[in-house]
Amino acid sequence: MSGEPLLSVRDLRVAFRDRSGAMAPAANLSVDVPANGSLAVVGESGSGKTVSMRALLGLLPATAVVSGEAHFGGRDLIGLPEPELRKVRGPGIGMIFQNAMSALNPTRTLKVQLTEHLRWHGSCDRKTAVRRAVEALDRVGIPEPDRRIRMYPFQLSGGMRQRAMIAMSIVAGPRLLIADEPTTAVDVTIQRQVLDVLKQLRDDGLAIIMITHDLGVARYFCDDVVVMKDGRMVETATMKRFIADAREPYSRKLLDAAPDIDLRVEPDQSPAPSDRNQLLQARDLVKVFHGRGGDVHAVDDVSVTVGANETVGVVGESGSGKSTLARLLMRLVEPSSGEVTFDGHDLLAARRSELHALRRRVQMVFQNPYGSLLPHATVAANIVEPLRVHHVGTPAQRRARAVELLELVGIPVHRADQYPRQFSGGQQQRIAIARALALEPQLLVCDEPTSALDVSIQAQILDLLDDLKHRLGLSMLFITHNLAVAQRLCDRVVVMASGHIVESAPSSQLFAQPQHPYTRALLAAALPVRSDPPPWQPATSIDTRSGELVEVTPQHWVRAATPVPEETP
Amino acid sequence: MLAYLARRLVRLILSLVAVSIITFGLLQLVPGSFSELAEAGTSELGGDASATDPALTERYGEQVPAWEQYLTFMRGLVTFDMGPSYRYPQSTVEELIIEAFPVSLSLAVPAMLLTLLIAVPVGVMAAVKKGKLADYGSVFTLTTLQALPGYLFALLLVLVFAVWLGMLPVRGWAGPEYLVIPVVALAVQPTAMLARYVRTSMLEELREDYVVAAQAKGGRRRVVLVRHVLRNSLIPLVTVAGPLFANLATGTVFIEALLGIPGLGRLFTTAARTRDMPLLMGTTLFFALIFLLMNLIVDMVYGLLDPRIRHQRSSGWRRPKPPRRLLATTSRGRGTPGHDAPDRSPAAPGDVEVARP
Repeated sequence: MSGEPLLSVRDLRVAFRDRSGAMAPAANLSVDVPANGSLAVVGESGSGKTVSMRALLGLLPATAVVSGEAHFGGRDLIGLPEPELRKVRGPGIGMIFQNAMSALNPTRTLKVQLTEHLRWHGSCDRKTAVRRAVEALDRVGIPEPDRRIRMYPFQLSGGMRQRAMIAMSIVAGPRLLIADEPTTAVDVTIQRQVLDVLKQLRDDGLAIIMITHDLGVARYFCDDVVVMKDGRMVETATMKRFIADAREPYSRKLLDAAPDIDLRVEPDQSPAPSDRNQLLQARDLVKVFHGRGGDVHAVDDVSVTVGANETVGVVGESGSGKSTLARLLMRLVEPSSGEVTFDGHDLLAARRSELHALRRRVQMVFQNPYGSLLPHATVAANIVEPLRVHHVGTPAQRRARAVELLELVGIPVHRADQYPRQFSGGQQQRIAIARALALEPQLLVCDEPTSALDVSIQAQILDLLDDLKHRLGLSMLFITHNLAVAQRLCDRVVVMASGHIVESAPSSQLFAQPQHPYTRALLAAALPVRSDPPPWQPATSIDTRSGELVEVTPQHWVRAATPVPEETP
Repeated sequence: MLAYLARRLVRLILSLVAVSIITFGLLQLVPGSFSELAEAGTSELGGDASATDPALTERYGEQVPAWEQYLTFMRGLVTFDMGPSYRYPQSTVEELIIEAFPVSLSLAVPAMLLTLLIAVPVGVMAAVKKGKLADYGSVFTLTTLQALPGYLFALLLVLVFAVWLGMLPVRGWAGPEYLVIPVVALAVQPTAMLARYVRTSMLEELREDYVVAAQAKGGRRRVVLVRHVLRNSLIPLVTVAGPLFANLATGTVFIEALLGIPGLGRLFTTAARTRDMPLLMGTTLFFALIFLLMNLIVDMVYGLLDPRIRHQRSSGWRRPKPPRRLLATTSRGRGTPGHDAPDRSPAAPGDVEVARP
């Protein structure tokens, strides 16, 4: 870190001009990035992180008004004419996006997408370009790069695709990479792989600006941090100082909201109440989807129970079958085989009217609150919809119930007649929860209810669910990919992979003494904010399919080929 | 690939049979037959020769039961000998169609080309200039044109170019100059529709991150638009252009009648008006065949253009494993993407990952 910074941004201001000509400020930023440095730009959605970074490269729509200075390689990027700026994009500064599926053109091969800009810039001929592209793919750790370069993006797995996109941005040899939430859309284990690829690039001399909302990622990867809120810079600091001693209240709020897995919890030695009333019981559930490419065993031989007043977490990466499981339990999807009983009633044998009555007692909360609310109905109408379907109460009584529920979830009652789109994402999720509670269900099935929300909102929703659980005596089946969230809320956690249960244990025990290698890999891949990340080696394939579930200690079940000895910490 | 094609062809034939049964059934239900109309002396039916033609009487006479008439016709369809028409007893149904089809085709091909030549650039321009005057102006014009029936537009063209300016003939079918007015009139509505479709499709693609990604690589705006955005947004256009062309090729009743063009549309209306069973069955089935073939071609072309569809299919083709049904499977679930409606949502292509080169 000597002398001139690689990128020096001074009083960068971005505003959007609306139709009437009024200006809406979107970002204001001043930062330095040293050569080979790494800066985290942290903030919640709408804080101006992406906008300010795109403004540097002139990638905003024409309605954006950008002012200030941004010196890179001896030139001020702001106000640089388009042809000059184009020479910086690519060979000077590369960009990585959140979703590789969208950031790579689905109908062109990697070869086209990795080489075309080398020729736009006139840096080399076709043959050299292809060679450089293969090298770039190799550098980001894609095996058999000369074969894979002929593939289309959709033929690659999620992690591979993300790496291919990184390769696309480094092939022109930039000195600075702007990574816009590069790991938000991928699973934890892949997140770690992608970050390690970026770390490798840093070791090779690149500077990286990482836009992220995940403080764990920022801490793992970056030396410096900028916190943004509502377009303004709240705090800049070195990462160490920020974690230890954030100055601004907003920064501290962000840090507090970040969920961390606590691995040092003492396993709860008091025997869990095993005489709990079993509310929901599923045995040997199987769901096979018959696709064109063959059969997919989405859920294979899964048994779960949810006791009265118990919160069970189902944790797994995408494709592990956890959402399918939730739908099977509610009989929204017919299982291929197996049985489900709810409070002694056979849910799968239930006829229409009986099923109708049973469904009253089980309600669901979805990941995307806006998608799950009726957009053309008011909030009150949305909440009373289940009451209407089940013919409960008079209109006046339903209205009173809606008001009561809004108070319960903390939405101002005077907004009952507004429409869902007028609320923020967190408020929409509260409304969805209120709707799920309208019929006073015994069991709430939550499918990733906080995954689409900002961290501080996530914390609020989790608090709300925790509070409701105790006040209303709810049972809950909580599906999440986030182990920290599961630990926060759940009494018992079931870990799923490739349609199977690999481990199931009371929360305290699972996090203190994970037994299955897959569970351990998941825990190791998570990036905590408050402590150093646990050591991690890229997991070679873990067998999550074979073996039988064995009860190693009371209520702690692990999938194992041979019975695991009692004492393996 | 071949298995897929074979499956599609079998379905195509089944559809044709269904169409033939429905058409024939409707004809039986509708009151009035050709002979009744002829006896009533409806003047436009041209002669009473039909009623006495021995070949016709033998095939579709009063004494022949309806199902036998149907089978006779279908047999004629397969052996390409559909026999004479009631209205035109001196020529067979297939001759009439073969005579009229080239006329309709020679209108349809230029009309289609004209449509594409105008619609694509206009749609692209409107999308690129979204929210500006050029966008509002073109969308307004297109919507107006789409609301204007083609035959009214034809009348307008006749008035201006034939009557006032005297540059083009009013009606008839005697040379290339007779093509101009019908082709333009035919192209108006499809152009408006397609241009709006291109605009929407472009706007959808422009929202994708790969556009920003390509610009962040240092691409010129124009290069990015053509190499990535336009290319991708024209793929779904195929699904619209196919049926559109089928529509044009099967003749357009109003314009053909208005401008005195001896195309398929006119043949069909004559057949319908006179309850000319063989001719009506022949033209209807021919129309159905054209539409079904166009759909098949669209699906094949779509696969060629969009690698996602191509690989999805080829993975299906390579593993023709019959679905194994377990106990309580009543729903086939989400694992079976409809092959007719390519799912272009961002989540969808995930299912396609099984493809291998």
